[in-house]
Amino acid sequence: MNKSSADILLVEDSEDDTALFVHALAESHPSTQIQIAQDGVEALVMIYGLGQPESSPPIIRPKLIILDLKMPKISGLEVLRILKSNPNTLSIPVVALSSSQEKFDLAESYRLGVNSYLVKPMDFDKFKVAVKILISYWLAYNKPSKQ
Amino acid sequence: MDAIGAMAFNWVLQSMNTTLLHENAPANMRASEIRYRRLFEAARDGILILNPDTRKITDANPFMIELLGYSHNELLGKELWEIGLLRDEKANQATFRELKENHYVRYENLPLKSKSGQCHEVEFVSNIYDEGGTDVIQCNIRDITERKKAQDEIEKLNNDLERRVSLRTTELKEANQELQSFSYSISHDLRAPLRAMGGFTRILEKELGNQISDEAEYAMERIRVNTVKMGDLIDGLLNFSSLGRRELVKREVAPSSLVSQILEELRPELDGRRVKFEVSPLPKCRADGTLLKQVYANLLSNAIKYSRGGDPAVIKIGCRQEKGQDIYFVEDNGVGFDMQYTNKLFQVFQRLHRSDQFEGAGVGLAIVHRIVQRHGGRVWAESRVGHGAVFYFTLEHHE
Repeated sequence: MNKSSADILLVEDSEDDTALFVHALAESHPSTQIQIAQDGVEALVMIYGLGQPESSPPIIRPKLIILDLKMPKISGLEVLRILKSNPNTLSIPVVALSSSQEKFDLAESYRLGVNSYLVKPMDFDKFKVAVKILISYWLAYNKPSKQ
Repeated sequence: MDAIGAMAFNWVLQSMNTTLLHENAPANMRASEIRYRRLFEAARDGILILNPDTRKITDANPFMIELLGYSHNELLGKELWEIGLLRDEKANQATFRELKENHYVRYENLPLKSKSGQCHEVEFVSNIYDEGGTDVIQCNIRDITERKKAQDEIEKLNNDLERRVSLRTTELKEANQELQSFSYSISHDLRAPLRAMGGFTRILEKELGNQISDEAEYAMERIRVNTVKMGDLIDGLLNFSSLGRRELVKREVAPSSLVSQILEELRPELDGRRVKFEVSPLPKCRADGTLLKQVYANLLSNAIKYSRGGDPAVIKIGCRQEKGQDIYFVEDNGVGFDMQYTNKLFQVFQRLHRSDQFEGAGVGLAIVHRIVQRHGGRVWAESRVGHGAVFYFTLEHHE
C-alpha cells in the first residue's frame, strides 16, 4: 500500500446521489474522509492501480467501500466480483447502495459476497438516517480484519 | 365394426345358421353361398382367395381387379409377391408361416403397386378358414391411400400449428419480458431524479433557515408533497409490473386466515376510528396464497379508506354461492362511487375520487383485477354514491 487511504470509497456514477451522500455524511460524520470513484473502471484503477485487478494487492485500502450497482462501463456487481475474488481485497467490507430491489440484484450481490445491501431511501431524511447508521456501524462498531 | 369385420361376422353368422339348421342344410347352404358371393362381388375391399398349399390365387373379387389393374385370369395362379403385394418371395413365405401359425395376419400401411405402376397404401388382413373340409385363405385388402393422405395432412397441419403456437409463445414471452424490464428500468430511472429533487429541496430548506418567505416555504412544501406522490406512483407501477412476472403457485388456501392476518396488519390504518368488521365463514379455495392475500389487503384497505366518514364504518367480508360457484365479497358503507365510471375502476392510475380527499396512486384495484384475472376468475363492483360499495371476485373460470 503506497497511497494514503480515505475512510470510505464511494463508487457512484450519479452526481446528485454523490452530492446527497457527501452532504449526509458531512452532517453525521464531519471528520470522515471520503474518496469518490465515478464508475467501476475508475474504482478498479483507484484500488489496484495498473496491476491486475483479479490478483494485485490494493494500492489503497479504505475501511469501507460503498458501491452503486447500476453504473456504465463496469457494473457494480462486476466490481464486487473482482473485490471479493481477489484474496488481497476480500476482507474490505463492501456495502451495496442501490435503488434496485430486484431479486436478481439482491441474490447476485450476496452470492458474490457483499457485506450489506442498502436500498436508497426515496425520502432524504430517511437517507440521512441510513447513512448515519451505516457509517457508525462499519467505521466504529464493526471489528475489521487485520489484513 | 369395419367392413372387413362385418364381413367376417356375417360369415360366422352364416356358418352358425348352417349348423343350427342342419335339417335344411342344402337349401341354407345355397342361400349362404349366394349371400357370400354377393358380398364378394360387391365389396369395396379387394378380396383374394388363395390355396394354402400352393399359395396361389384361386379367386379375386372385382374390386381387387379394379385396384390392381390385372384381369381376373392374370391374377389366377399368381402368388401374392408376384402382384407386388408382398415385397418378395421371402416375405411371401414368412407371411404364410405366420398365417399357418396364427391363422391370422394383419399388416397396416402396406405399399402396393398396380399393374400400371400406380402406388397405393393398403391394409392387409388375411385368415385361414375351413371351407367344407378344405382350408382356404382369404385376404382382404383395403385401399387406405386417401385415409393415409388425410392423416398425413392432419399430422402436418398439427405439427405446423404446434410450431406456430410455440413460435408465438416465445415471441409473446420475449415481448412480455422486454415490456417488464422496460417498465422496471423506467421506474428505477424515474426514481433517481426524484430522490435528488427531494434531497436538494431539503438541503435548500435547511440552508435558508429562517430567511425563507412564507411563499417560498409553501412552494418547497409542494415540491416535497409532489415528489412523495410521484414516488408512490412509481412504487405502484413497480408493484403492478412485478405482478406479471411472478409465477402463480396455486394450492389450497383458507381465505379466512388471510383475512384475519390482514385485519391485524391494517390496524394502524384505522387511526382510532370505530370500524366494525363482520367476517362470515369463507370457503377454502385453490389460489396463490400470497397474491390472494394481496387481493384482500387492497380491497380491505380501500374499504377502510372510503368508509372514513362512517361512524361506525361497517365492513362485511363474506362469500355467497351462485350456480355452484363461490363469489367472495368485501362490502363497506362508505362513500361509494358512480356506477357509470365502473369501467375505469380497475385500470392502472384511474381514480374516481380527488387525491386530496382520498390518497392513493390508483393501482390497488388494478392489481386486484390482474391477480383475479391470472387466477382465471372475475372481479366486479356494485355501488351507489353515498351508499357504500361491494367488490365481488371469483377465483376460477366458470361456465
